[in-house]
Amino acid sequence: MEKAIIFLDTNKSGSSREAIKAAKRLGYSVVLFTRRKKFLNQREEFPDIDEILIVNLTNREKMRELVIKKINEGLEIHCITSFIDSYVYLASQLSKEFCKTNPISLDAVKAMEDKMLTRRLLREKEYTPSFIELNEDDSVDNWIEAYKEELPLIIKSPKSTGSKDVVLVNNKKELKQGIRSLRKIYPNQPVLIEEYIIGPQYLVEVIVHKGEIHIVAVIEQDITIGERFIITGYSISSEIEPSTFDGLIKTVKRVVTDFEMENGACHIELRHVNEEWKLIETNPRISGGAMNRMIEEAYGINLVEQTIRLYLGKAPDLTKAFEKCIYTHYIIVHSVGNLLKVTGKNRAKKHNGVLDVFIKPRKGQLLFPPRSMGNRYGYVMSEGNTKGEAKAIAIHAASQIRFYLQPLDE
Amino acid sequence: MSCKRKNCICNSLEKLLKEQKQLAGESYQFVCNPHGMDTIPFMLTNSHLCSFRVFGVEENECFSTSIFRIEDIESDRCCASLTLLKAYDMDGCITDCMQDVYSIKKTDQRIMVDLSCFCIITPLPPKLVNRPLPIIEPKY
Repeated sequence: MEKAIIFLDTNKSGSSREAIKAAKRLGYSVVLFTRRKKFLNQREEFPDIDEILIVNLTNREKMRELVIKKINEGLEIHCITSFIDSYVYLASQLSKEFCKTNPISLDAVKAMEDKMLTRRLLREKEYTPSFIELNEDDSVDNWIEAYKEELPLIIKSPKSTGSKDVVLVNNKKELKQGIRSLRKIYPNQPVLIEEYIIGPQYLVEVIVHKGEIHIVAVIEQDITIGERFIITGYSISSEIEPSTFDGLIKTVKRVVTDFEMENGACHIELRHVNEEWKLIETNPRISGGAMNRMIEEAYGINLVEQTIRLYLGKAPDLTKAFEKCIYTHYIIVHSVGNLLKVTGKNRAKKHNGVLDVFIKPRKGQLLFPPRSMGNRYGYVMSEGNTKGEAKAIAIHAASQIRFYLQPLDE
Repeated sequence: MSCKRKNCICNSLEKLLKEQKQLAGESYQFVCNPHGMDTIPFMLTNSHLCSFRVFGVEENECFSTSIFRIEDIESDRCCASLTLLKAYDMDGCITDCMQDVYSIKKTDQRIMVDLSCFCIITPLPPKLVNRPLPIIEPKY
């Protein structure tokens, strides 16, 4: 029988796509369940996927039927997984049902995937910021009067991903508007309101294997605050102050232990404020975008490949082959317009130290200021002898890249 | 340039001038320039398939162009008064290469031409005239 891995959805590039390539490298046939019909029209761009099946990913029964169909067709399904927000838990459930080896801690994945469950589970922990759940039938006006002294605040939907609906509100008007708009987008859902924490933000990539917590990478994040919180810079280096690093790792291990994760992959974002670490959010998967490539360039570890090994019931190999300073600078725009052309990609690539230049949008696509991480339109990844050098190279190389936008009112 | 008898380019330019006036809304009584456009830019080519290119001077700088706006036509003499138009690329630089033309601007330079010298007229999209240059992002 042909051994196969089923993936629930993927992006065209980044960590989720690299996971598919890794599965192929490991010798598995790859079946993709996705709702993106356009992938079928772009079939030649997915040579690493053996079969693409269009399915509504919220319809669990339909997916079960398809998995059974694939098994009856002779595929031996070794794992069902997803590297895309919202589907990790669902994939893990299906994997538990259909695959012999399923080491993933389901409850931990479920709690990590839902921001509200995360906060509820960790309510009493000192690393959890103050938060309030505003239910759909709670009166906004009464609530605002009661909590106006707490402003500024962060409001978010428990289901939001990629900073899509995470908003900083500075006054009563913004707070009211923010809650109303979230209730409109996510009817029948509570709104999560949290204290606004100011301080440097770190992201930690973690693999847990048989209860042992492996810190794969610690990444410093540079955040651009506009309409939304957008991370425009990621830095991997060994230049983090030892006391800061120790405190961070201690908190991360405490968080993972509190989720009772025995096996799984996750990333955890924390902010350092007044010598304390505060948990911003967790996700039961590697970060998207360039993260897998960054970790590979920094340490020689292909994290998505090792995650798949873990899901297949094997031990991940997280040995660092080397240690380098890597920086990734993401490109965003501040205007709205249709993309006419992009210049400077090759010039940026030629800079010493530049490892990768990626431009996401195609000609004709509408570009706009970021409302989520998905609205970042490219990146430059670089290496340097120091953290500062890697960052300077990436930013300088990125300054060569130009997006030409045709204004919409033309 | 001596003007001669009427040829088919002359007829075409008469028609173009008429459409240009319609585009500019000159036939309307109650609205002014309803389409926001008042020019049908065009190029002229002679029987040797060479584009008609003219040099002009504006703000003490010399430029060359092969794109024009018709202002008036003397049908009986087959002569036309043309305004020189300047072509710009996406970066806002004057360009001679038609593939790079993104925006066209009027100048105050005019010439009188004998239309019997030409055998091809190539109209260009009116929306190119005064088209705002693209926004260039990111802004560093």
